[in-house]
Amino acid sequence: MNNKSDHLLTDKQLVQKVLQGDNRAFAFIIQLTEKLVASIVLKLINNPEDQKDLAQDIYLKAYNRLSGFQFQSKLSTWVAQIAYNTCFDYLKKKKIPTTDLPSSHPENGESGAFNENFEFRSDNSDAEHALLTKERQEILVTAIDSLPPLYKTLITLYHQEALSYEEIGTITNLPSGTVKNYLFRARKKMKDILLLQYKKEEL
Amino acid sequence: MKTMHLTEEMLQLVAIEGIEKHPSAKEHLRECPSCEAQVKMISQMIESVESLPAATFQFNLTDIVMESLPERSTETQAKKRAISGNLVVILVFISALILCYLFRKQLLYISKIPNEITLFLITISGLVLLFLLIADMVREYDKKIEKLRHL
Ligand SMILES: [Zn+2]
Repeated sequence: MNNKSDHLLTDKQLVQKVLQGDNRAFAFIIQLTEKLVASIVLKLINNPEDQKDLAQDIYLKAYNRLSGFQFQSKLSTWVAQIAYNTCFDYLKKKKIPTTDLPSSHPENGESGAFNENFEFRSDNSDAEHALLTKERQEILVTAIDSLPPLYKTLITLYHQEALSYEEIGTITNLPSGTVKNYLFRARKKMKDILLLQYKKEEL
Repeated sequence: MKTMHLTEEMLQLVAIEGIEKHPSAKEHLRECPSCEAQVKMISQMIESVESLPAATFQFNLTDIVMESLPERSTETQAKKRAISGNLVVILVFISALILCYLFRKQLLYISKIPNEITLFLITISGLVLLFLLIADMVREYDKKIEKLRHL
């Protein structure tokens, strides 16, 4: 799987090759989809050992179900869907909630009382700025990590993997409207966490 | 300034899609530093998220998966099986016909069939029917095995 022509293989050709017994084609499918699958597994699952087991499980499922793939979506979306379902089932089994829905309120009552003076400080020297950026990046990662698993995944799929609402909907078995709605809530939650952190920092 | 601030959704939409796509928010944003600051904060937050390095597995996924792949009853293997299956069917068919021919006198006597042509036709249709039944059984078996593999 090292020549350039492999990059030009369509999903259909790749699947056919695997079904004909060419396992190198499956290795190539893994390489093509690994980043997307990692963005799902690593956001939904915290335990490193479980991440490994689940990742393996996901691709074994994909391998065994490949003959049933109907090409109704991109192959990567299909594999991502298996990844999501596998992790979701795991979370369900462990009774870990994936959203904050039962307990929280969707209203944004506090936005009116927002601190008018809030702004990112931009008048620092370069060194200070770099440090600040690194600190802020860490705060950001912590903020994302503290979101419920589903929100984390949606933020990553939409803002880092640049998938459409429809593609995310296919992966997560949610209507596009719900994906959009959850994304609003996820960003709001993330923003609130960040604001709280920055305020603590300034004290 | 209008008394109603922009909704959280509108703040996010302006931050992500740009003010040009949401002209209705323009006027309020011009006059409201609070909403303006929020839009700025959200768009910076999104920018930072987009520039975060992608998460990667800390192990070699391809190696782990490839080592654990089961033996696939591939299409080629299925084809090979089909070809050898067909060969067996043809051989059995031919030998049955030869046996019939060699023992035609005895068969005619036992079965009380009036002539050789009728015997020949009955034998052929009997064999064809038998093979169709076997083929159907094999197909059902394959289907069940395939279903089991998908569980
Ligand atoms: Zn306002």
